[in-house]
Amino acid sequence: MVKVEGLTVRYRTNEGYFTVLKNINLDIYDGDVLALVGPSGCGKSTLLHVLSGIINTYDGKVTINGEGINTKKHKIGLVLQDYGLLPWKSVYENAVLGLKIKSMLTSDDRDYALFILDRLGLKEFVRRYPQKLSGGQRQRVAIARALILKPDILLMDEPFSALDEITREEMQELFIEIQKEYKVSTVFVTHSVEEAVYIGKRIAIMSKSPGTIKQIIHNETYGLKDKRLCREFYDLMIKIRKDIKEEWST
Amino acid sequence: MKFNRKAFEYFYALLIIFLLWYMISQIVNINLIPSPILVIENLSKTFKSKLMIHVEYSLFRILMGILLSLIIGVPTGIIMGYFSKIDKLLSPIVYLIYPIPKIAFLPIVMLLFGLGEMSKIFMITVIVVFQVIVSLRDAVKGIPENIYYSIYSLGGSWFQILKEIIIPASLINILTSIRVALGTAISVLFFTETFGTEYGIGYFIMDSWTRVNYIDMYSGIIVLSLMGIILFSTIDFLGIIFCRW
Ligand SMILES: Nc1ncnc2c1ncn2[C@@H]1O[C@H](COP(=O)(O)OP(=O)(O)O)[C@@H](O)[C@H]1O
Ligand SMILES: [Mg+2]
Repeated sequence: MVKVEGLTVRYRTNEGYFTVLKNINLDIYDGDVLALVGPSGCGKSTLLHVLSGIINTYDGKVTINGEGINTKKHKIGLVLQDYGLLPWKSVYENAVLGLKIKSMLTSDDRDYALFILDRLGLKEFVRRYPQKLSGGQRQRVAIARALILKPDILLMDEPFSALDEITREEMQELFIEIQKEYKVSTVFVTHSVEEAVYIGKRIAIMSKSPGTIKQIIHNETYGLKDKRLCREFYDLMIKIRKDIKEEWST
Repeated sequence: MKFNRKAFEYFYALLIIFLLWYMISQIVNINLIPSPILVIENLSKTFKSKLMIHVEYSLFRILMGILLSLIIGVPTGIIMGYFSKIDKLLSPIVYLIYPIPKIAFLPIVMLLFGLGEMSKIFMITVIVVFQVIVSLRDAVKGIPENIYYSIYSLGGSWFQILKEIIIPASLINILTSIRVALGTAISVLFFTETFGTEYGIGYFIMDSWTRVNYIDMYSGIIVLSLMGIILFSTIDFLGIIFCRW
């Protein structure tokens, strides 16, 4: 379980300190899929950077299974909005980067990596370089890399927002399938209410800057089949939209 | 593919230059500009007996100079590029010294290190090392912050960051900096070889000149140019091999 208690983050700027996140309290249970939705600039990426150990100066307490975040010990699967692939590494080399950094690659690791790459439909691209892939393919490589690590927590920062609509819906579908199979605790950041309702088991709604958690909703529609054809899906979306209408407008 | 094309380009450029040279030599018809055919004939006859030893000396000096510059310049540039505190300390010094025409210190260097190999290699190194430092520093500074995020979140060590990100990201700049450095290094080499030595292509060219043996002199110039071209294209070739992405 990941626990965030009283998290406040400030950035240092020329004019002094700028508070990005204010008193965030959040629990992410094992097997949870927390969709974190908020307007752009509210500090969603900042929160993920804290959870992934990239930012480590903050007030408050963040723990994974009771211990402070330790990037060397904990396995953090991070999927960035710009995919975070290294252009000089092939798809396969990118995919096993996490394992390689953590330890020596065993032959079991290699088999597992190829299995996951195959599962994500990347088998024929393993030797390609990222620049020769489409956006959807790159995103799948980034997800493969995170999954191959068998992460304690999977952090995804607006992973599908740069994709075209068709690819995005395919990727959402794929994510849900994969999630069913592997049940990784996930924080899924998005600025789209629709996506949050589509993907999240729980939905955390953030305020605009300085970011706070406004409410956390248990998503009754989680696990429904063909959700985009369901009434409940739209009802929940409309309800959330109403709640945030005033809150998010500038 | 890429390689064949490059080879063709070199061949084409050489052909044009020799053709121009030949035409000029025929038109002006003076000793100072002999026909390239005579020069190449001379070169093929005397390369082994007369020029080889000079090539060896020059190559040794230039490669040592560049090697030393890389050994000093690459780590310095990388450290300056990555650690902004160190950069703040060092870059004012580097940027002040960088544009100074250091070749003017050759007399002092020769007094300190003698007339032998040391002073020549030292001179090349001192001039080239700054180009390497500056281009590496800028390359590393130019790596976008978010490229590091994945490896930070994986708990990568400084050595792993260096190996997986900094070096591959700046490899092309390392090669480019060597290429730029080569041009400078060859000029410096030529200059230093005109003093206190009896070996080296620079010496050979100047010596032929004083002997008024223009055919020899042009042979030397061709050999020096070929040295430059071969070193240049080696780096191009390395770039094609290592930077496939
Ligand atoms: N390194 C930084 N230094 C200063 N300000 C930053 C930095 N990173 C982000 N910010 C600011 O913090 C706010 C929140 O950013 P971010 O976490 O990226 O928001 P989101 O991901 O929700 O769009 C923005 O106003 C942004 O300009
Ligand atoms: Mg963001």
